[in-house]
Amino acid sequence: MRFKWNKTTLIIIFWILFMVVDSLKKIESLTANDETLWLYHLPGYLIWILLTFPLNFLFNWSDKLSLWKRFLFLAGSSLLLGSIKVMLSWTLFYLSFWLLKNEPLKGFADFLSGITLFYFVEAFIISGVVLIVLFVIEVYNKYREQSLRNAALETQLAKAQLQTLKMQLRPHFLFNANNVISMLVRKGENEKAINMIAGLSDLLRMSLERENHQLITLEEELALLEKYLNIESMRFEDRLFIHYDIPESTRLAMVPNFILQPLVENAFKHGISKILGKAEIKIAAKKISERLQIRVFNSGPVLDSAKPLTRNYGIGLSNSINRLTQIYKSDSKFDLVNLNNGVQAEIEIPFYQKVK
Amino acid sequence: MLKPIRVIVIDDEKQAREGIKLLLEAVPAFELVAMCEDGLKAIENIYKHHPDLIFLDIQMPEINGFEVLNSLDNHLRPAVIFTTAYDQFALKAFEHHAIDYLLKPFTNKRFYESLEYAKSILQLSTFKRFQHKMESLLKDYFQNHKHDTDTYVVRNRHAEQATFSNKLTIKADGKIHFVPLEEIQYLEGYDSYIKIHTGEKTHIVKESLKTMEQKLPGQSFLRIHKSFIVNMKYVKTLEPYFNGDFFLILASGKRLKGSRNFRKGLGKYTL
Repeated sequence: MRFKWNKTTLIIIFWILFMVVDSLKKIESLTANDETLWLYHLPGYLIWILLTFPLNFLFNWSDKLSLWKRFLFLAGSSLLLGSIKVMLSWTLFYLSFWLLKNEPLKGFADFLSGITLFYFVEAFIISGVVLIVLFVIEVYNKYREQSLRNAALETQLAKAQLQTLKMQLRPHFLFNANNVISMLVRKGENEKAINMIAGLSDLLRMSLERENHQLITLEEELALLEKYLNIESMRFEDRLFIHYDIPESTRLAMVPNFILQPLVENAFKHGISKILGKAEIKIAAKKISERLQIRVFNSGPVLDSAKPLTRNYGIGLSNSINRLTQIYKSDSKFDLVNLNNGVQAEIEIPFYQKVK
Repeated sequence: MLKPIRVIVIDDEKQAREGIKLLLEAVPAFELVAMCEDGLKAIENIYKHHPDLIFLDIQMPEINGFEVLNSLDNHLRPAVIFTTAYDQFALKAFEHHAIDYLLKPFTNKRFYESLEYAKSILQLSTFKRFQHKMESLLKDYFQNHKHDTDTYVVRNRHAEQATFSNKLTIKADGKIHFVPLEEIQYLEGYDSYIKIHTGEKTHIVKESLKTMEQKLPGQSFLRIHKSFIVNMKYVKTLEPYFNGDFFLILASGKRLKGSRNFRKGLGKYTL
């Protein structure tokens, strides 16, 4: 409601300004007390105010047309609305002589002969001006929307990157990993120890140096994840089992940068750390017609369907979900489902491949 | 010769357990009697072996180190050296109650210092004081962690193993209770909790009957209604009712209504 009211005010203000400028031009007639000014031009502005609404509607509606079609459509619309304006104005002008001045009604032929081509050209130009103003507003709004969207995407990406770094710097992960290394050294399993040190360093380096593009290939996204999971599986070597099912055809598919990390983090937090005995994580990608589906499964307690989904999701996931909708609008899906003694997170996005 | 000090190492990470084992092997006064990868096995082994000393990791899946200690009878609680990578609350609490702990990773020097310390508390007069400290530590911990002391049945992946197969593991108020399956007569489901009826006691756990069904062995337990699971061992007679519904009458005289939707399961029982 508020928005509509604002728009109406804007339109009225526009026309008042227009009227003032126009009247300055016609200052002579004003002083000459010309009747056409009072009976034709001033009521004309009222009609323009009313006609601006359908014009605005047609302008917005035509947004879906291609550029040329839209141009032709709007040119046609301004011709039509311009003509309507002239006819309305003229009828009003004509009737006002009879109503206000008690002059007898002239014949229809007389009525028509008064309209000159000039009036039509004038109305056509004015509606053109209105359309140009609408166009400028539209371009400005689109630009603003775009930059807002970009800013939101940047923030979310930064958040995802921060989350990834935090996950690796989490004391439990880091110190326990270091503890494993120290124990391996004590046992004389030097090669394993070196692998783990190298793995930790790679992991940190990769997440620090990763370029902050919004989209990267699935292969790149998984590279970091594999490093992370390698270390986790060295920590829980007799308990944690990790499977990948990533077909060659999906490796170059583009995915949002850092999108999988929170899913895996969640799998540990709400799944693996909540069960005794053997645990499993499965990461699978699949191309289904022109869509990419990515699934992360973890064994563990199933979701409580009685709880609202937001409580099951956790904060990390909400950033992922926001990013998906920000990047793909409604063309993406995110789901958490219970599946054989565990939970599966599923992302579905359009399949785009990196151009080599 | 002195009796060796008997030790159990409890940690969910394999390398962490094996590293401590290696360090202990160098000291003849200590004898490693068991290594456990989670809290449940820890409780079982402590009851079985009555160790003098345990190395106890705090953060473990499902049952943490404090809950392990809390589940033990006071007189059975051994001397404890906590091991942890990081836990702000625990570290503060240890300092406050003057209890020894190892921060992972630790040096050999630090490890052997804590072994010396353990030896000293195991002398009778100091051990009493240690036990008091431990009691107040646990009280402190569970007062500060009331929010995660829900009651529920622990998803027990060891259930196939003989020592666990005949018990239901229930976590309540930060304590682990074992309820022998053969004592459970029937379970009654409500919106968000279940009443587990044994002959003498009723346990209430926060759980749905559906997840509960998965945690019980299918041979003896049968779902007969959307709100009942019954232990067939306790069923005396089946009484047909209208439309395929039925009643099961237990040895205790309790009548449970069964629904036709669950009648299929009755097939294998000839009553």
